[in-house]
Amino acid sequence: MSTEENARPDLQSDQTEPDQTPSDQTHQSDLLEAVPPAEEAAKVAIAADRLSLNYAGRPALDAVTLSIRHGLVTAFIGPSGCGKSSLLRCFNRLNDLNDECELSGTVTINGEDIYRPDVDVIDLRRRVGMVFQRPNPFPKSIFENVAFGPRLQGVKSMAALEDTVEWSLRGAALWDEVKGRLDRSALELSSGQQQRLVIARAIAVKPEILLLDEPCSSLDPISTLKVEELIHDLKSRYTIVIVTHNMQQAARVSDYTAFMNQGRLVEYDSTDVIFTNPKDKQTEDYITGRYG
Amino acid sequence: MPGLKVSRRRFTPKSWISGSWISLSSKLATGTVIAIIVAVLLILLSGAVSYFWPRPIYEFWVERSGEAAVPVHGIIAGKENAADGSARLLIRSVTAAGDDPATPGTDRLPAADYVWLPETAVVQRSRPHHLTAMETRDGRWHWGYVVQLQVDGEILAYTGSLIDFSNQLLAADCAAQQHMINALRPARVADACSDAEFIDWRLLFEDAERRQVTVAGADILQLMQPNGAGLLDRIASFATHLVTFRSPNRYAPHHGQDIVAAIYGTVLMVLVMSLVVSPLGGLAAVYLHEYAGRGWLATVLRVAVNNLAGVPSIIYGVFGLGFFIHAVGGRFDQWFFADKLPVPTFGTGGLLWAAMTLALLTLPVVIVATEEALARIPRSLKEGGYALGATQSEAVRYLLWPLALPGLLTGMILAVARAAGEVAPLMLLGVVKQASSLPIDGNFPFLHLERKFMHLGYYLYDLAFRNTNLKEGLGLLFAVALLLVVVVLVLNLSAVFLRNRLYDRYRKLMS
Repeated sequence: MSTEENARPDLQSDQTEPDQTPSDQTHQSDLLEAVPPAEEAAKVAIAADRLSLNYAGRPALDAVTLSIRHGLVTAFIGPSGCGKSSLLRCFNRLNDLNDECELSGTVTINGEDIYRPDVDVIDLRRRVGMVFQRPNPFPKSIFENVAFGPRLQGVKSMAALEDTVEWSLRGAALWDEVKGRLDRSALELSSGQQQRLVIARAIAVKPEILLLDEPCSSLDPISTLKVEELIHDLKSRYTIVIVTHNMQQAARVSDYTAFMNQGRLVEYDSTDVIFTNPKDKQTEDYITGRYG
Repeated sequence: MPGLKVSRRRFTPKSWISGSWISLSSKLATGTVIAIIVAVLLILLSGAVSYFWPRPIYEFWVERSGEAAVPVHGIIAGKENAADGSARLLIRSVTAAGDDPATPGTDRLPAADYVWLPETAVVQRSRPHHLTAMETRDGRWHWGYVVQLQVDGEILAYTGSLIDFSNQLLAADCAAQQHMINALRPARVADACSDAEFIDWRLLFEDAERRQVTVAGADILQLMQPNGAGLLDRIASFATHLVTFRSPNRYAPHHGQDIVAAIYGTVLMVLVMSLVVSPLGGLAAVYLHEYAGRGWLATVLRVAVNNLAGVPSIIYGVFGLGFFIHAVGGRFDQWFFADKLPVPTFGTGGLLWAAMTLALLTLPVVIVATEEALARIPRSLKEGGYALGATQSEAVRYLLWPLALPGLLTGMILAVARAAGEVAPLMLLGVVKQASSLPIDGNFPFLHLERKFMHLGYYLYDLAFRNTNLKEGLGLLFAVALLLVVVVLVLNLSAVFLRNRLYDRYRKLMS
């Protein structure tokens, strides 16, 4: 109660400051323009244009248009079932696995339409790595987990694989904890370690973009902290898109934040703006905890 | 803790019975199942043990109407109480005026047979220590006394005890007489002795009616004095007979080799079947789960697979006969074994076709078990593979297949249990009473899958019908049945062991 009351006046005072009118009349087409002009020149990694998705006839995404900046961390927030994970899965075409999934609109990555029929989905997924909500290490050794992607790409030399595994595990801040037991089963690791192992596995194929689907939702606070630090470190090398329902986390790790609700992109702006000066009433309600 | 109520619920017979009706009835059901299993095993076990346990030989003095009492030697095979209160004993003995009376002047005694003795006619019964049971190579049993022993034509001092005699020989360090000593040891089976070791020895044997015959050592299979044997000797005798699968009490219409051949046949057939059914069932399950989708074709396939499990096994036998033996085997013969025709090679029943047919029979079980295992694999695992750029086939091969293996092995356990006990289809597919050669031997190519084979289940079936004196024959039946149970158990346990090792590896993931 008290925290809410403390938080609200702040936000309200922020809101009244600029001349933007907080309303729900924001259209998706406006959102692209809503990106501050100073960063327009920055490279766009992923762009979705009027992206709609139906699961078995039930709409999951409704005409989402947004562009994700290269080399930054973008967070998707929103209540459960708002379509943020579905949107994420459009970026590496993981929704293709579901037969009942219909998609319209376009998604471009580095300017290329990834839903063109002649696109090599396998290569796309290599370039766009993904980490899931629950750690999903393969029932293999730690080494084999990380080496799985490179092996699929035909890397056979043991020396090369060892290099990649060490590089990836170091990259995922896990090397020091597991270097002595690479041949042990990955299932023996704690869930925090497993999640970092999965991140190591994802970066072992040297992707350009990392999609993190609520990577900390099943982790304890200390593991969460480690993964967040890791995201911070990885930022310099990868474009990261993270789905989270933890708003503090979004505020801590991301540069841009998109708020989604009921399959629509409600508001998309730099994290600072979203959390201190949201333009939309829904965003404000969600962030202040009145909702969801 | 004063505030906390102390539970009075402890395990007592009463607490076990109390509780809700569902808990009670489930306990009763479980108890019944366990009782049935235990009863089956106990009956088999007691029958088998009695078959191999050396029984005492009796000397009965029997008084027939008005005549003087005469001795009868034999084993008590049963007892029957008549309605009027009188009892009679079923004796296995040589005294019966059977169809094969002793011919004076020859060295043959009459064959043993069953005879009923009214208990009132038996004036005296005893178990003399030196009463001897002798089984000869022609399958006859005799009960009587050894009167004299001769080695190389020389008559030896004989006290009446075979043990004394063999010790005497051992003390004299007669290495060359090993065979004889073996034969003389109570309950020792001399079957395995090679003829090279054989020296000329014979004994003078006298039966209850004082007929004497000289029997050559080479003709003797077993020579025992069970009455004088102590418990340890009896146990040793039991063990020896168990290993050779030969009864110390009665002629068995079989040889130890038959049992060995039947075990070989059963195990080999099950192994070949496993080799066929595991890849077939596993891959079919992968197809159904991963590729078939939810269309009408997949539905038809699933229904077909589930219904196949309910088809009576004899129908598989007919199918195997028509398809494998006549169609496929006949074609094989025309293509590859034309020089041997009209003698069929693969165009007749044999181990391979029996194993293939049983593989079809057990296929549904394997498919269903594997598919269930595949369905239990978390979706996220496959997605993890796809997210790394795995193709569907790579995800199946490297991620799903290893995890489906324990399920496949569960299916194999059920399949093995079913196949090892199946008899009906085998009768159409090349199982025989007596195989002239094993399907596996030292001759190239070592594994002869086209050969006819023996099978424990069929052997059991055959024994049951061959045995007219069921009462005593049950012993052998039980022994073979127990052996079949043991073979199935060993096959099953090895699959369980394999599966548990795999489960250990993946347990954390599945939980």
